[in-house]
Amino acid sequence: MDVERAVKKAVELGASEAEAFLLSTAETSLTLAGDVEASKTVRLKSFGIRVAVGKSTAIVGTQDVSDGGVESAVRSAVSVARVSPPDPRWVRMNEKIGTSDVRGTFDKATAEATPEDLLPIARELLDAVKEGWREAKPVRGFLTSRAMEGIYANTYGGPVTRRETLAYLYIDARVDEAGEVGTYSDYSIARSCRELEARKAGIEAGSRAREFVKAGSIPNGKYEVIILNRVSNSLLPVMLNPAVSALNVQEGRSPLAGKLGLEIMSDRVTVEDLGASANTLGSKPFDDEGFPTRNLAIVDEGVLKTFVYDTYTANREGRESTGNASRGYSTAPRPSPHHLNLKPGTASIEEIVRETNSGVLVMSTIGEWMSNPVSGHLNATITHAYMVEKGEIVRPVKNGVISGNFYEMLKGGLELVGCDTRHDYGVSAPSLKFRDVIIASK
Amino acid sequence: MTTELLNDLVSYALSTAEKMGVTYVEVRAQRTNYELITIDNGVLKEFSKNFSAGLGIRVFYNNRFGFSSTNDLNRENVREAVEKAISAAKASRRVEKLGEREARKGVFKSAWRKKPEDVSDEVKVNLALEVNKAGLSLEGIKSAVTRLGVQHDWRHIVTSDGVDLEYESSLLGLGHMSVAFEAGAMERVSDQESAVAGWEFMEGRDWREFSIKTSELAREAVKASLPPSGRLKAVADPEMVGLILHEAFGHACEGDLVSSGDSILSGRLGDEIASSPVTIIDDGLAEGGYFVPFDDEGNVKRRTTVVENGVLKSFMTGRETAGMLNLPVSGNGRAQDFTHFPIVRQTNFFMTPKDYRVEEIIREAGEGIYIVGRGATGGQVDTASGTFTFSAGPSRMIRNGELAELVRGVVISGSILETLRGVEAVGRDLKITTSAFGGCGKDNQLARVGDGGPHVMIRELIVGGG
Repeated sequence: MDVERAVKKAVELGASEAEAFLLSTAETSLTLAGDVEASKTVRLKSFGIRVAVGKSTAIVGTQDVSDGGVESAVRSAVSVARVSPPDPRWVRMNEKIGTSDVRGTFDKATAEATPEDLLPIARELLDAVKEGWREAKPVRGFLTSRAMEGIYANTYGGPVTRRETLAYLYIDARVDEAGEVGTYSDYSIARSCRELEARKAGIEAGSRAREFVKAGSIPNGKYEVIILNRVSNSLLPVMLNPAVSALNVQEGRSPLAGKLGLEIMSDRVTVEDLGASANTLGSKPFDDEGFPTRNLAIVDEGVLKTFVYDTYTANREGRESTGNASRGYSTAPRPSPHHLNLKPGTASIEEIVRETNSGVLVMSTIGEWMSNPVSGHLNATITHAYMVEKGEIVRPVKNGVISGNFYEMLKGGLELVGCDTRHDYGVSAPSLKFRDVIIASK
Repeated sequence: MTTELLNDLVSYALSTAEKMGVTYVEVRAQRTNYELITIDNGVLKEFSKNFSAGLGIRVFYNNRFGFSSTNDLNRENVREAVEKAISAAKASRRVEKLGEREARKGVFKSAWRKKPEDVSDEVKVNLALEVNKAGLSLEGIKSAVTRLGVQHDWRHIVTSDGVDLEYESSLLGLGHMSVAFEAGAMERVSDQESAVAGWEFMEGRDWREFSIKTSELAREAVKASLPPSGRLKAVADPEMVGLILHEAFGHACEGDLVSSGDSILSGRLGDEIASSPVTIIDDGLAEGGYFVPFDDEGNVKRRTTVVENGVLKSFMTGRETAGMLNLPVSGNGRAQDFTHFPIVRQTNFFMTPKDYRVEEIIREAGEGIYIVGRGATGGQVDTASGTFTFSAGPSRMIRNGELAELVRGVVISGSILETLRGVEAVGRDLKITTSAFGGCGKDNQLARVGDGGPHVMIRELIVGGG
């Protein structure tokens, strides 16, 4: 059953509004250890239906996409909505269905890649680890190509269709030397397998793993802290995505509530959401409720300009959605940025290091996702870093916890914005330098 | 999709693969229902139901494993999936030896008295609404989200070497988050309780009290300071011990990471890697944990003693890693669902109790921090370097051998081996918990797990604070 018929069926069964989405995913993946450890291909279809009966809503998702499976999902959704208490804030589903002009999201060769097609890239990646350092071993990695198609329709229009591909690789390298162990990992992500930088990632992982054999510890204290672009990319979405969601603002869970028009960060910080930008990995022609995407200035030279909205949160404020609905096929949409982009400054990473008197250059962290976006408290555990003294990198270090208020760091604490933007899925940012950051360590 | 139809496709996949010349094939059929009710500030924000069904096929072809899956369930697609699994095998490495196992047949069901699917949607929604309302009723609570999650999982695994195992389990839980606001500051506290059980688990307790307590803690936490930053002696409660063990140690004992060299414990079997009171077990049937009678390769899950009195005794394995490491198959080859192949995962990973009373441990600690699992966000480890981190819930400082002021924003870090060697006292209590809302992530797969232990004193952890 296609999405239009499912919507029609729901209305026949008594729904006042309905929306349906069909997601098809095809994935080919290699798991790497010293060699290709395992390979798989997966084909998956998922169908979701959300209905409103008056102001009562329900969602049912199913991966039984036969006509019978879809019909039973539609029936179930209508019957759950009938017994659900109404949401007094419900107005209606998205009435503006359409697409923005986003090109280059799909690569045919990537969509059709077989495990054997991925082998040369895997070999290049594994070999490059040894190129980085002859004794380095690739200990864990992945190489994945994925194609996704999403079809959406609701009572007011559609169907609209979007297709995208994504290729991803990751490698963890290890060096054993005189009883000590050094490790490092790197990754690459792109729209197509062709654009993956396998050799670069492998060399980086292998050569850095060698350097980190001798990693010492960071003395407990306050430092000038430089976070490498990839660390910026892992921190920004954790702190900002929930905070700029209109739902969290409306429900009293965002530290940015009531701060529109205020300077929340240094005037060197401009953050956009690139929903509809060519060659940006998080961009797509329409959001997860069929609303056309757009590019949005969220923070402009430090001033908070807007939150991101889906139809529900926009209706609550009598305004238009910003095209930021995001959902799984069986969950309710929630507003979320598509692709945060922190605009680059002018300093290269070498210049930033030269400008640092007593600091830490953070190369890699874990646990940053455990930061608290409600209070704004950020923490991340350093796995790999370098001590910087008088403008020079002096030695590798590991183990320490960065802790601080994210907004204070990006306001008074921000010293430099790099020019070295790294583009990942859903986020692009350069390296950043902060003053007076507490690092807890031995 | 009926059970009969799924089972018919399982047999078809098996015979098709054998005709295509594979030496071994395992076919997993799965059907999972998951219901989630979300109440946001007094309003039903989401009532979602998800039905998933499909087939995962793993073949051993020319001594190489390949995997494919489909949920577009007809014979043609199943045949194509078998072909794709064989094609995937051609890209994989050669496996010289697989761990031996006994081919078992049987049906395993977790215990439930009242099937959650027989409880009406209205009863479920009303319970969640009431709990949310109670949590919001306290002054200073600005926001509250309540979730009720119900999972029913059916799996059937059949292999060409004679395994035929069927599994059915019921898991449910209730989670609540409260956000307190005071003098311009905000703090959130979330908590959840889940059980492998039927609806009787929901009827058996006062959930309003549960959300009120969460709100009270949030109100207290918003006024609390950050802990001092640096090295501290720590007493961890059972939930925190579970988190530390799972993250800091469990992952490093997973056979795939050990065999590839991605674990700091590679080559350390027989070594004394922890202090002597430490014994650590992985048990698929531990009370309070998740229900894993067998794994997704069809191996019966044994009770695995990983550490005994401080000595590293064994690693967790599936068939491939057991062969590589020359260890018994421990039954830890688990897959998130039919779209994934099995990888080595923990089941219920916990420390066994010893002799200390909780108040004795706190008294003996003298000065330090009592780290509490309630309200914790989770943890992560870099298994190769041994660095781990986790966030605790609102915790208390220990001063003069007694619990003192509350602290918030507690983040702990340490290194695996130093932490286990630094265990100075192990309590006589034991608590193991699981969750219907999350689980453990590895290689892009999520697995339901359980973890826990007694109260434990650790000589030193790094605490990130203010």
